[in-house]
Amino acid sequence: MLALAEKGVGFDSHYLDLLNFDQHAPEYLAINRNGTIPAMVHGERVLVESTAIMEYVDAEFQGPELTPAEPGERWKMRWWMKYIDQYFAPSVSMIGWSVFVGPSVRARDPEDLNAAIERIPLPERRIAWRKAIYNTFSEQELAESRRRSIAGTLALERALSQSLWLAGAEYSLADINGFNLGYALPLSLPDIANDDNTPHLMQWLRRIYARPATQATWAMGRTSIANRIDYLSKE
Amino acid sequence: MYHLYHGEPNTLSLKVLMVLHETESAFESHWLDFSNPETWCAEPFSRSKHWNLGVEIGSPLLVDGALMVSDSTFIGYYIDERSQSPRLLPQDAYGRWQVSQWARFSAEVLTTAVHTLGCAKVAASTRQLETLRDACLALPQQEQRQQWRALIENEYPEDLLKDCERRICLAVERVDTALTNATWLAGATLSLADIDMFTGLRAARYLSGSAFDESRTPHLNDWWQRMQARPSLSAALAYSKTKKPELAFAPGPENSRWG
Repeated sequence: MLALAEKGVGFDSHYLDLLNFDQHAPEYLAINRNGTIPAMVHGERVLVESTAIMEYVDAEFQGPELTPAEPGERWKMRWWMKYIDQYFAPSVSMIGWSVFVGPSVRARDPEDLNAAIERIPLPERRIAWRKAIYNTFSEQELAESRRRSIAGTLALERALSQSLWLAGAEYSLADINGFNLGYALPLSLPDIANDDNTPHLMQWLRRIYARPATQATWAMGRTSIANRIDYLSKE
Repeated sequence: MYHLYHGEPNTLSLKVLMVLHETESAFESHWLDFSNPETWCAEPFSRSKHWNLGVEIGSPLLVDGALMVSDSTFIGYYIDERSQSPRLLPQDAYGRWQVSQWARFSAEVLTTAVHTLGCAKVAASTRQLETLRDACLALPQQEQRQQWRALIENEYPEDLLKDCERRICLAVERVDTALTNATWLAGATLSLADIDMFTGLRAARYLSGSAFDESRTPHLNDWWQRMQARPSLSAALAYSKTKKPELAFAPGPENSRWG
């Protein structure tokens, strides 16, 4: 959504409630049989996976370039997106799922929950939901996720102390990708991600939050999560 | 001119060597023993923070002047975008999206399975693992040390190995299905997606022969023959020093930690 907003591309929004398992309902599975979100339909095409969709949006539509022109900066953009998607995000989200997603749905009828889990098409996602709902993350797993979340936070801080944006001098898809994870860091790791310890990270988050595209996108949020980011509007 | 620091032409190193030859890019090869963690601690890897922090543990490294480019898939993007006549990335947005999809599937599902099985079935029985312990401790990143420790202790649980076999079967099935009505995996011509999946599956074939039932994969078989016949493959395999590159496995990218 942020990439579409930055490019100025209009779209029809179809809101799915993750905690209500809307993404595993038959009508959504008819669009994306894997039951993962987001999915974007463009003409006859169905596109999945947020990072790959962002690259598609940037290449397909007119508007400001969100991919650097220089191959070395392009490489750095892609390197950061993979680091965020495959190293940083799974650790941050494990902590988030253990304290937020699991407790939010655990109170429901056990038989309904079990049936909802069984409807999840990908075996990997079934395992992930089971672990989150029944909170079977071990202390060791959560400690490792916290260690990795801290390592990722400090890696971001180091990179942003050397250039204004993650790939170099220009705002790119890597910054959009990083913001979607990064905005939660000062809330989930307040002792690590803060103005004293990670000033470049905090300035970067504020710069992105102030962008009109970010403001417009966040205004579409329907839960209290959208409000939790208000701290970025304050110096 | 590029400098490529690579290991035996198998999996990740094979992928980059094929890309360099497909794009006719000039480079100097620096063959290194990737199956020894001392290599990982030495130049030039010790100078690249991206190589050390990267998700693709054990990636080859491309040096272009002051820039050190790591992660085999993104090295491929870089080489193609820098080449005089880019040819491995589709020009249209949808073709590029397909390449991206295959790259992520390859990285998360296939490559991790191949490196795990390769270490468990081959490397664990062919190296004097005890001698690697000190060098393993000197690796700068905990994730690197964990991957090497698994090899040295031969700690590959049976359920993990079964899941790796399952993922290789999934990759075979997915490629065969994708080729039902297409000649190549992304777009109308050979792309990074074909090289990505082929180099992973080529290594997988030595590790999990039962996953490859030719009677059930007619589309994959045809593509396989075309990939085997690429001059870039024979050129890449010529960099082998052991003459058995298909048996060269070192610790690689981590398996998913949860779901």
